[in-house]
Amino acid sequence: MLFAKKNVLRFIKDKRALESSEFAVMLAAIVVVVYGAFQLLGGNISQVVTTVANAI
Amino acid sequence: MLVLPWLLACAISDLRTRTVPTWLTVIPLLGAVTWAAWQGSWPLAILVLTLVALDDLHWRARGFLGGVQGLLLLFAWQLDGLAGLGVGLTLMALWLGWKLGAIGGADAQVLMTLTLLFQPGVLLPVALAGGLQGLVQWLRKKPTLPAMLAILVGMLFYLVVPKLL
Repeated sequence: MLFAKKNVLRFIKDKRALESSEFAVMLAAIVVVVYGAFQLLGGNISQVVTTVANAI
Repeated sequence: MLVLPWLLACAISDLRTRTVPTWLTVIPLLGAVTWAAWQGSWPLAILVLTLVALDDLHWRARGFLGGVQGLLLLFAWQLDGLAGLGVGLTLMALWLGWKLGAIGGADAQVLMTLTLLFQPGVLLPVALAGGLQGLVQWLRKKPTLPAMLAILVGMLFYLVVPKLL
């Protein structure tokens, strides 16, 4: 039995276009922090990832 | 620029009914998936298809698909570097946002389409517009907001403002 539900493709069928207000504010804060961190540390992060990838 | 009329139609539908018709979100998502595969980012295209099916599967199949998704992220990293990995993780985060009930299905589908077409950087102005709208709704004691409006305004900033500067 591959599918758990009779009503498949729930994600595609979901027409709701509502977002939680609290989530929207939280998401904005997270995106700004992550973007800021990448702007400040982007070069170093890339270097570390490349070093790890080369070691593997 | 073609995305703006599409997002406007989505925003109008959202403001009127708090829903967006399936064809208005799924056809562009399929188009973006096809475009990503055409550009050589096939792991990201398959990743989106696995995310669409993930919630409907039996838990054993879900576990297997989770492993496949991990491999797809590795392939995306190998093919497109950190940018590919970033797009893959963003797509998964958007799906998780839907699964946790934080965003609607239509919002998640539209944001996935934009992420595939424009890279995750597009989510910065969208998130800021959403945050501002969320703050206004919060102060008005409204627990939810029509997110398509924030997506439209964010995309307007992303596409138009750089041309004006």
